[in-house]
Amino acid sequence: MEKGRNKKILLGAVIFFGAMLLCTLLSKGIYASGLPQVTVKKPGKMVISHEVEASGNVKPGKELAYSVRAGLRVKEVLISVGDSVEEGQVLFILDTEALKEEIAKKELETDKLELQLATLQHNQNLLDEEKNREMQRAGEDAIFALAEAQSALQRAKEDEEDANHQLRSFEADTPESDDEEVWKAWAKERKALQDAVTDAVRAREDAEAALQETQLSSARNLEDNLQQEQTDSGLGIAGMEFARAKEEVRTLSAILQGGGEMKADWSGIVTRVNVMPGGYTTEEAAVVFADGSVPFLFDVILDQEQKKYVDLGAEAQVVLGNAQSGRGKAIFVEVDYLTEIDNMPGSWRAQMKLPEGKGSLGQGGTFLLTVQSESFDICIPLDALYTDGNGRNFVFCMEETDTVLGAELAARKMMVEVLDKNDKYAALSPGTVNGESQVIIAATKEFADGEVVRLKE
Amino acid sequence: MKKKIFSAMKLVVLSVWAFVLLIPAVLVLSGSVMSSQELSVFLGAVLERKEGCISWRLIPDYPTLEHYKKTLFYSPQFMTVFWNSVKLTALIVVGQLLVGVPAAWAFAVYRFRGSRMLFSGYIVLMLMPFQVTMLSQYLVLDRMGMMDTHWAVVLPAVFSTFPVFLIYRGFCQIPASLLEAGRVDGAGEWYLFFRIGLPLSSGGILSAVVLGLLEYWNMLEQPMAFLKDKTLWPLSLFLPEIGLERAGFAFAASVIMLIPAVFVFLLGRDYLEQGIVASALKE
Amino acid sequence: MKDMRWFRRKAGRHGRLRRRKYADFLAFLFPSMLGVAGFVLLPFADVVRRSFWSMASDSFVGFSNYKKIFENEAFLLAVKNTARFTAVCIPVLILLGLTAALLMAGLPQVQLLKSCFLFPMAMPTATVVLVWKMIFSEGGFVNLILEERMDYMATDMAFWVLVISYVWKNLGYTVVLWLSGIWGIPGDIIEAARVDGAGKLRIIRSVILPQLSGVLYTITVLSFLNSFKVFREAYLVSGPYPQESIYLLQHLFNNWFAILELDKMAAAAVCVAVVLLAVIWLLDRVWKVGEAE
Repeated sequence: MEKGRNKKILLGAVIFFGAMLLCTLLSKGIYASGLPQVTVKKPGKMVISHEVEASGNVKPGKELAYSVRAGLRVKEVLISVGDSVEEGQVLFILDTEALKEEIAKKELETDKLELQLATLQHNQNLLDEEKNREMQRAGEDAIFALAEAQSALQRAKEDEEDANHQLRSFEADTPESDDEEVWKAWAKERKALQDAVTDAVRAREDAEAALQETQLSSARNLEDNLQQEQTDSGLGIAGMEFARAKEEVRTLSAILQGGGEMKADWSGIVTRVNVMPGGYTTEEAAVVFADGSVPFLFDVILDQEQKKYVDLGAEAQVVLGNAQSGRGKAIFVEVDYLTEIDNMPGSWRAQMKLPEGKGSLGQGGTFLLTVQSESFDICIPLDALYTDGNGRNFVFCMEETDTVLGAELAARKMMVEVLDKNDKYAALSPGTVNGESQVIIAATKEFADGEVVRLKE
Repeated sequence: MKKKIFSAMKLVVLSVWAFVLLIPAVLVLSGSVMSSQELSVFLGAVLERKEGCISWRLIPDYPTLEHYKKTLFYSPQFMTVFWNSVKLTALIVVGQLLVGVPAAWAFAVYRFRGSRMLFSGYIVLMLMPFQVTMLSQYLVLDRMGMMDTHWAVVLPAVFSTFPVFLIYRGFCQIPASLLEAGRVDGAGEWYLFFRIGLPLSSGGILSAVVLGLLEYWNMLEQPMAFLKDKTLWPLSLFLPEIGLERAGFAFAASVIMLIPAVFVFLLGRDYLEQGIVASALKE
Repeated sequence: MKDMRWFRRKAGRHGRLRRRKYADFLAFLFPSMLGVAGFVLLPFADVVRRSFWSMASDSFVGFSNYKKIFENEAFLLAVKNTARFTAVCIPVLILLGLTAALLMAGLPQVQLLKSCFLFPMAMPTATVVLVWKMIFSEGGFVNLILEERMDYMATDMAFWVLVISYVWKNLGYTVVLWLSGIWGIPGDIIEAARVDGAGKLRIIRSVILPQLSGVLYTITVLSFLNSFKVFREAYLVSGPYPQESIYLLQHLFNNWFAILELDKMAAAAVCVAVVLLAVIWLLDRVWKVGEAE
């Protein structure tokens, strides 16, 4: 019984080991096919080129404005945007009837103004005359006053002299008697004479002062009179208005004479037409031209990313036309103008002169610029580069590891620093990854750091 | 009557005790058929040190064989270490027999004054833990250039003195008179050994085999110290590397590792007992 | 058994076939001796030599290596822990084994029970460790039952976890040995005692236990031997540097080996060997004395 049971157990054991053997073979096969198969490449030396491609349009190099007085009615517009016009070509025709009306209105105005002007002038003349008279009188008064003051002074001087003289002569004549009464009477007289001198001196001084005052006040009067001449400008304004109105009439008449035709002063291509038949001209220019003598510009808008590679003076290419209309040959240009657009921060406008004769206004085209960076030693295909949640970059390298199954290949995550990249390649700074590393660029299955992988046959 | 109740009580106590002893095996077995989701729920507390505690269900809600599939079909690593263990264990036990059986015979049959002392020396050696002899073994193995090969583990184990001791007990059972009779009949010593000694002491030999198989199927210290190359590792070193994060895989692998041990256990249970009893050092 | 041994000894002493047999003895023993000598004994002599040698200066340094290890904190800790572990787990194992054996002895299901108790011996350590983690770690089963949460392997309780692991694994053969001892007791002695009027406990104490001294010796020695193997579980759960209370001599040896501190290892190995020899010799003495009674 024991033996029988033992035999069964032994059989079980044998089956177990047999099964394990089978499983061993199976697992080896399945395992290998279950591994992610990877393609690897060693990083190479490369130049990272950046291509900037942007669509743009041909714009006029220089624009000129043709304007005409506002408020005139337009009868016919003979040109449209894009037309090429010659010097002297008729652009649009103004309504002559309206024109005549306008002229009449203007002439009326002119007349009114003229009248106004005459009146004003007349008034002004009267004013002037009066003024002159006043001035004259003031001058005469002044002279007279001055003369009077001077003669008063003269008389005062003479009085003074007389008084002095009298006094002196009296003092020279001293009484001979010793009579006190006589001396008292002499002294009294002498005092009276001295007083008289003093008075006379005072009178003379007053007269001097009076003369000075008169001189001062007459000078002031003269000044005041002169100033009054500069106050009134109303006349001036009226004069100007009249002149202008007259000028307008003249201009309008000239136009009328030309039949209302507005002719181009130069040749160029029309870029904007601001007049409409039946409409009125406005303050804005009626027609805007592109100056045909100035080469066209190619205008392109770049975003921040593209702008990094474009500099003023950079050499680039422009290809005019598109898929439909057929592409032209590449035109070599230099970037002449580059600036940030005011109300769109982050967007930049670049313009470049197109050579003579190239391009028509409004034509679309493509702006191409290629910048070659310096040569980098460690460059990998962009597919091999990954970014983690923190924005750090990494790649996977294939390395040999020792496992239970022996030497196997495993994927190892390496953090890297990207020096430059375009849409196909990335350049890495030397460090964790070097020229000998086997960088995994493709895999048949997803894998994680440390997982065993196989090389794709 | 009292005896019966008493017996029943003893049985109950012992049954509970036996069940407690078997709990680890039960856990492993039930865990090996649980799906990974259930396991991560149950073991979550242990793994991530989250709040809450481990929970378990003896019969899983969604039993699955996925872990066994993984272990058996998708893990050549497991297979490699499995066969490594098989190879090591087999080589060691066979070697031990080849070397130890004759030695045990020598001690059992030929008694000299020196042999007694020598045998005591063998017993003493048997009792030394690996750590003491580890250095000596390393020095020899290193000089022989065998480090990091399977021989580094096999050779020292082959010359272990424990099986010699066990088998010696087995040989002791043989009556000397039998041998004498054989010698008188003109049989040579080797003939005696092969034709009389071996058959009669099969019990002792098998007990050494069983104990050796169980011991070396599980050995850990020697491979850990002497085997650096991962391709040489036995299952006992590989299994601990599977942590509780892959609990399902670990449990399934453990069950598979258990199976040969269970076979040995079932087949050799009596011999196991014999071996244990025979290792009594004093009668 | 006794008779046959005595008989054989007699035959040997008669010496007639001695010399002839000597050659055969050597022949049979040769492979084993070669291996043992080559892999263990002679290298051990080298180990002893190394314990007096310094690796760095490659010269004789006397007892300085021994001094070094006795001043080494890790060594002292390991010794303390190992000794403590041995002193705790062996009596626990012996007593539990004895209890189980006594309970089992009379029952008819004894074979099945024995199998159950023996089964843990067959379980691979790696598996067991997983289970211990599930039970004793911070979210484990034990914490499910008790209120206080802690990771047992990270505290001093790790020591008791190891004891439990050891007892769990080795209970089987202990029980088997005890049972063989118990059954080996001649039934008549027990009968005689019962007739004399001794109670069950008295019989156990005065009759059964003394008879078991031989088995006890075996169990003690084997448990002692197996207590070193508990390093496996400790290492697999906590690695080479576990919690303080379970840092054993084996951990120390393992770590020193990893960094090739061979001279310290040599000195320590010699010390441990000497201690073990002393212990074995002591046990032998004690039992011999005991047996002589």
